[in-house]
Amino acid sequence: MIIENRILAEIAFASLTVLAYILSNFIYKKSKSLIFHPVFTSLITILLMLKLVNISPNEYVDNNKAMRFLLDISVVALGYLLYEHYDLLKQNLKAILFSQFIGSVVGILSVTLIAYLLGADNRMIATLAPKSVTTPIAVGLSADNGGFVPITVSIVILCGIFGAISGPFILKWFKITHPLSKGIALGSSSHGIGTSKAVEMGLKEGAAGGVSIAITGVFTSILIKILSFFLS
Amino acid sequence: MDEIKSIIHLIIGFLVLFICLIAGRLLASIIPGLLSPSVIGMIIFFLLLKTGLVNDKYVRKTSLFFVNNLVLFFLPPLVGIVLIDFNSIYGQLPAIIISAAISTILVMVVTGRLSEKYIENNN
Repeated sequence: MIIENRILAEIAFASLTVLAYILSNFIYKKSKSLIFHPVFTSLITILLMLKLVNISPNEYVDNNKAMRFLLDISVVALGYLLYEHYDLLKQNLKAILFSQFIGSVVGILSVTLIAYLLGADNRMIATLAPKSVTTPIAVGLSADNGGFVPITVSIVILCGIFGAISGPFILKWFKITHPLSKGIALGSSSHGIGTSKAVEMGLKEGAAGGVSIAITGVFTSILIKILSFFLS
Repeated sequence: MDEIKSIIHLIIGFLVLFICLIAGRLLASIIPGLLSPSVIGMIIFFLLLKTGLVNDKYVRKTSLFFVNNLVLFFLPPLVGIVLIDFNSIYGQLPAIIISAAISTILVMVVTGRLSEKYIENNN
């Protein structure tokens, strides 16, 4: 089935997406397990629904411009996290900026170098480079450099879940004990999903995680632009 | 009355975010280079709040709605995963998984340890 009217298609696909999302959130809240993270259940639900009405995923991806616009809006909204936790940022400005900057450098260089050494091609490297930043920013970075956007989304989410699950052990192992440092570590390495773990640990941890999402996003954007400039 | 008020706040909030994004796009087209339009929009939004040009009570609800529901908005690009020819990237799967996992841990340790050092030295 192909929907002829573009606007109608946009509305139908946006509604489908919202519906799948609400359903998946319900399942996630009931199960309280990261395995049921709404992103995976939503994906499966959307694919099943498309199959049911015999619409190709291609059609769905091509007719979701409104959602793409809202994705950009959600990046802008992250500025609120910076504002809300401004005092925390100001009091620990050097610690936060310095660790995030080095963290962003390490994040980009380690993932690109290891992937390169293990035989990934240039397109895959562009796909992986933004893996530590929040998904809406990573989508833009991957698309700008010719990466596979859907793979970037999947890897970013998987890194988030991996970071949130392994985080408590790694923090303990490396004696990262200060509430701010815990939040910074989780937010910088595994963005929103890591930060939700930080929120469970405490208010300060959660706030530091929120600030880290925004700052790491900015640093990583700048660094990837510089890197791609020199490599192209 | 309160409901009408909160709906008005949601709309004002959305408009502010929208204007910041448009401003971000304009700036990005004037100064091509370092940042993507939405990230510039984010910085503009923060500055508007910080300078008090925009009162946070008007944008709080809308902003938190977006921040708390990020997943919803990147579902469409994610669905594109079924359109990828996996035969062509199958050989790269180990590289993808190993590099992403190691790098995630490295970032966590580096940012955690560095900030911890800084905070200890300050106190």
